[in-house]
Amino acid sequence: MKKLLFLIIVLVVSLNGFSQNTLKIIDSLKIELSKNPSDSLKINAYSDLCWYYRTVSTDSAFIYGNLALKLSKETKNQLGEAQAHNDIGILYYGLADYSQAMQEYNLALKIRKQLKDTLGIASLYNKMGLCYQNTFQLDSAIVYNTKALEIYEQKNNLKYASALKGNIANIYRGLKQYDRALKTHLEIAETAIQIEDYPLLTRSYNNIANAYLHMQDTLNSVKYFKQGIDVAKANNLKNELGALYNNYGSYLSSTGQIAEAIDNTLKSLLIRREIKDNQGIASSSLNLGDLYLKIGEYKIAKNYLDEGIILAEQFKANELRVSGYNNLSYYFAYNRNIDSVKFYQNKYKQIEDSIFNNRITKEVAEVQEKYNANERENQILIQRAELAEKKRDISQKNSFILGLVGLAVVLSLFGFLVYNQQKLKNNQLKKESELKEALVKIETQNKLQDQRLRISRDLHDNIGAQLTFIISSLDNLKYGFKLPVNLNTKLKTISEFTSSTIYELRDTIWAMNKSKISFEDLQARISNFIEKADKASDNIIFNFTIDEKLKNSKAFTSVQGMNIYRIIQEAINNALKYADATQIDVVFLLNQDVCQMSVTDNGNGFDISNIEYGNGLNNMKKRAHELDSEFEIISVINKGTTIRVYNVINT
Amino acid sequence: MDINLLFSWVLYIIIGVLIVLCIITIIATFRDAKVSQEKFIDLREQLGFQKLLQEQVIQKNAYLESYNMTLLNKLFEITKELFLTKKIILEEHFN
Repeated sequence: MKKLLFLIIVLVVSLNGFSQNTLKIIDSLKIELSKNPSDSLKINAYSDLCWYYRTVSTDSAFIYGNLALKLSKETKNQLGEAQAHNDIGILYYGLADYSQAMQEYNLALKIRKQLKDTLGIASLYNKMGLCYQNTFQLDSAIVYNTKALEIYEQKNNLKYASALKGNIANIYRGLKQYDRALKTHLEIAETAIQIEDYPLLTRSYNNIANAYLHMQDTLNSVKYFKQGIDVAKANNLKNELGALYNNYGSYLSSTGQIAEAIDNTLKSLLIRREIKDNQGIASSSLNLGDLYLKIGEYKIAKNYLDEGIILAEQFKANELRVSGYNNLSYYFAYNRNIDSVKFYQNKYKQIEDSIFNNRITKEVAEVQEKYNANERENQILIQRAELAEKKRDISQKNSFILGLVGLAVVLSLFGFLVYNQQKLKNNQLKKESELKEALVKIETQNKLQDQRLRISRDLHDNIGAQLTFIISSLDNLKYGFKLPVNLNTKLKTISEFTSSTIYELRDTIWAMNKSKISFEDLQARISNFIEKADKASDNIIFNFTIDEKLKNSKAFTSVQGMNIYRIIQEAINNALKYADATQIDVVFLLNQDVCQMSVTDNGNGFDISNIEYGNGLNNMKKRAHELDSEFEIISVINKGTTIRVYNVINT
Repeated sequence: MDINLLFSWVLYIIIGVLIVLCIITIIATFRDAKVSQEKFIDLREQLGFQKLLQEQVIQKNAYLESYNMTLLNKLFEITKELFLTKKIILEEHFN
């Protein structure tokens, strides 16, 4: 509860800090300290006392700053320690002891980096930049301000970022790099429009106008002065409006537009009086004094000069004092008051000398800084060149090694591919030669077998011709001579036997001349046979049926065809000779995988169990087995007989 | 010109040429494999056909061998019958 109360009071105190009297704040903080709060609150209170004593008593500020530091170290409060170093640094900065200030800032920076307090780090960079700026190490000042700027931009804190940019622009102006200063001020103006910060915008316009003046671009300078005045009027920004009128008046005075210059400077003075801006009043009054001297209104000029000098003395504003004393010496010269002229001329010279000395010191420091910067830049350039060369060497070496590795890989790959190609070629050639050898061998064997076939064929042709001759001779003998009956019968038997041998021979020649026997061939041949048989028995009906599916299926070899033909022939002969059949059906069927051939007659039939297989039936069975098929006889007395051979097609 | 740079250039050109050669070799290998596969299939078909032919001819010859035996028996029978007939005719004539 105590802590909360203290925090609220500190918050209220800090919020109203600028409106309250500093001493009152200091008293209230001391009262809170007397209540013996916790260590962390004590540290905060010491820090605040250090801050507020800064403008009242530097020694007291140092005492409270050191107390805050000591207590922070004792309680290991790193946040408080960093803040204490920061506050003490500010005190040294105020005393223009920049090296001590830098030491404190560095200590604070070290702790804040550990705490990763980025905003605190940015604030320290800003202050360190100011130290460098004041010791004329302007490039370091730019580096530190830029570091702070980067952090504020990352945090999107555009207000602080703009303030830092303003600092950087002022450094550029100090280095007489007006184009860079102008560019930065233009960026700030853009940001000010974006965040609608009109005081910042008017100050930026004022700075832009001054930068253009330095660059002798009066048109743009006037444009930005007027824009700044318009924005300040619209937003009732009296402080900025006073400065703008004063600066614009100075510009008009330098171009000889005295009446307009008086008008603008008067406006500035009235505004500054209204807001009690004493330093501003001093500047405007002295400017007006100068202007009235120019138009010969000495009395009025004297009044303004007196007012300005008093205020300039009060603020030790040397530039204003120089201008004021110079103009006063002119005034007394017009009034022929030699003593006063001498007095004010002496004062003028003293102050101007001191300003001149300061300026010389500053310029010497600037030149030194520029020389150092050039030296450093040269060193950096040399180092960069060396680094670039080393980098190039390393990259060249890397690329060379990479190239060698690549070459080794590609070479290996190429070698492997060539080896693989040769291996494949050899394998292929080997296989090819093996196949060719086998082919030649088999072709030779086939030729030999073909020769045997041809010899058999020639032999059969010859035998066929001789058998025909025998039949013809027997017929001549039968019809040419009157022979006894028994002899005639004998000759007839021989003739019939010879004829059947010839038919058999012809069938064999037919089959052997074919490489394949199709169902059509088989059907034609059997039809031919049936036709001859039909002549012998007129009343018999023959049917020959082939399943449509079988017609287009594979054909038989000549031996298979011959065997099938002989089975059918034998079955028909049996039906005609022994069964007295009136109808004979030859059917080829395909049922699923089973192919069957059947010869069915409607003859007498027989009892299978009571008969013995003769040559005919045995031959049929043997031929069926040669076809790798099953042979079956189904016979019913007085109904007929069926001879069935199946699984023919699979063989 | 820097000798190292020149050497690097030569190195990379050699690598490039070798890569091109690798590609050519791969293409040639594929083409050879395809051609020899086609040849191999063709030869195998021919061999299959010849084997089939051989089988058929062997079957035919085997069949003919057995048939020729049967035929010779029949011829012998016919000759025997003719001689018997001749004998009967001669006996009739001389008696």
